[in-house]
Amino acid sequence: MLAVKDVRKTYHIGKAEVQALRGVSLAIPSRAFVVITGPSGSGKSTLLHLLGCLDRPTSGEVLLDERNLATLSSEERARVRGKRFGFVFQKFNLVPNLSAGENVDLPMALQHVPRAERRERVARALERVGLAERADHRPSELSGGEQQRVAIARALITDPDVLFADEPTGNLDTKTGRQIIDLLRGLNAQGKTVVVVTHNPEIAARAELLVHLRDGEVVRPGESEREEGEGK
Amino acid sequence: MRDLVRLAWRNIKSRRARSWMTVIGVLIGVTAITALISLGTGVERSVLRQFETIGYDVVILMPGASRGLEGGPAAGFPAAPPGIPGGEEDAAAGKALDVSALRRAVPGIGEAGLIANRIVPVSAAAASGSLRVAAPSPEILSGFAGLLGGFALEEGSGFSSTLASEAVVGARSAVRLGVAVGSTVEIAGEPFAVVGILSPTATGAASPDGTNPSPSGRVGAGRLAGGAAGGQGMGAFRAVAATDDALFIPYDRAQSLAGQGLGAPTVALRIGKGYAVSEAAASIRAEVARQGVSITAVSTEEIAKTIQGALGTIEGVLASIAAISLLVGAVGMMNTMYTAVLERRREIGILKAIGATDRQVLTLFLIDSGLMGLAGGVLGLVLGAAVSSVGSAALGRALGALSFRPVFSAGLILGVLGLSFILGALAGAWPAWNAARLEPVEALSAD
Repeated sequence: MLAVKDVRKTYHIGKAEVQALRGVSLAIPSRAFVVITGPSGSGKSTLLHLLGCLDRPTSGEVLLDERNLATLSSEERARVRGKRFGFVFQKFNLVPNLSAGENVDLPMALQHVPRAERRERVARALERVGLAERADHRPSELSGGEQQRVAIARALITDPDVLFADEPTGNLDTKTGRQIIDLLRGLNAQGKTVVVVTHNPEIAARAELLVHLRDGEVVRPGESEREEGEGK
Repeated sequence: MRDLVRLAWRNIKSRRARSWMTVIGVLIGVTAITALISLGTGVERSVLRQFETIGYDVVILMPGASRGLEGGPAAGFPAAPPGIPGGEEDAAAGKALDVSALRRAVPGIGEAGLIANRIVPVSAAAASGSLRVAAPSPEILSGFAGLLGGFALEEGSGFSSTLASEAVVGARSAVRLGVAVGSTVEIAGEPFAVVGILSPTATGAASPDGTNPSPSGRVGAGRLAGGAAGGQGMGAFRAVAATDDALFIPYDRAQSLAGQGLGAPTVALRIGKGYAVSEAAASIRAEVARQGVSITAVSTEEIAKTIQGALGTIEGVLASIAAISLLVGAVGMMNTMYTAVLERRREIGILKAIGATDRQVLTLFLIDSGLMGLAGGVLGLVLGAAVSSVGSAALGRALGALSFRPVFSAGLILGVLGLSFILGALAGAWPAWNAARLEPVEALSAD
């Protein structure tokens, strides 16, 4: 189980101080499909970064199975990201010099998974996102939707418990975006915890847990039915 | 690790032009270092090889007061005109060394040989001029042939007796004088029968002059006397070793040459096994001083050490200059890596997001810069080898008698490759460390 307890995050931009999160507490049940939403600058991406161990809070705790991730060493945090979490970003974030297959392979390479096993898993992961034939293509040779699917395959290759997606449909057309949403939903149905930050009401509509942020605070966490239409 | 190397390699390739320029920066420094060190080692080896043939257990006693090892004029400096004897030498000749007293005073002295030499007028049918004429005693030829570059005969025979009016002619002198076995040469106005011609020495054979005698047939005394000038240290040593340009007559016969013969002889002493050469040389010097004779005693060991020291200093200075250019190359690489890290912050963020540790990111960038350093090292080594091969030919020509080949020791090759890899990695270390420390989100937010 993943949770945050009274997390605060303050950025210093020049002399100005920006409070991105002002004491957020939240529990994310296992296998849930969680959507974090809110207007720009509300702190939703910051919250995702803290949950996903991509950043450290100024204060407060980020708990994964009762363990405070915020105080772990850089090395241990890297291990948590590599083994327990998977990430999908708005800008796909594939390594441009590597092919689709090599991008998917990278997390396993970093974890020293045996080569033969890796090859097989890469093939399976690409097949799962419908890109088995595109394994040798560089990201620049793939469409936005294809790149995002490669990114999803890469996020899943280490069989993580939690999949984080930051505006996964932000750079895609409606149709492709819908395919990605279906893919994420399917993964959740297979037992993955999925945490999505989005402006997309279509995704928010399908959330089991909808978290609405405004000015760095949770407005009212509630069931998706009651929040419907409000999430933007 | 293999995957990190592959990724680093892809990154180097993706910024091809910049990578090449970085590599070239290192290449220049490595080329300079490789060329200078291989040439330096080559010169040193070729000089020391000459000493090895003589042996390090020899003490040479040269006429003339001690002026220190480097007292003589530089090699190539024209000697005093023939016929005008050096003042000190002759003053010293007034009192001869008592060799038996020396043997009594210094334990461990083995065989001893004498050799006198001087530049005197020589004429033959084809040409005439002033040449170095050396008169070795039989002991020199049997025990110290190394002093005369081996004294190997190409044709003919050696001296029939120590009083015979016979001459053995150095290879180059024979060509220039136009003599063969059976010819007659006039040395200081007296006729000598040519009984033997020497094989060209290794150093002489490689010299371009050897195959191209001057059209006039006259031998320049200045050049011949070049290395011989001074009569001390390396100068004297080269005088006796430069057999290609000399003529040889028996020692006893030389004493009756017109004038003062060939002057006071140089004495070569071999120190027996089990005796320290340096101690023996010191005792000899003490005994020479006690006898009040004007003689300089040096061991081959001391001469070799002095030369080695001087060459080492020159080599060190040159290598330091080359090292500066390598350093400049390293700074260039640091610049490249710094820019690369800035450009690739986003990629660093991706790597960290998918589980790369700080150490893996650091390693990736170190491999990146290390590979470029290594590439510069390999290419620089190849180019340096080419430069020193061309350079040794040119330098050999400039130095005349001294010919040599550049030496590429395993130490030099491994050292240069290791150094360029490490320097490359170090140049990348600071930017890489900065990259590795970033929180993933900081790196990802870069554009």
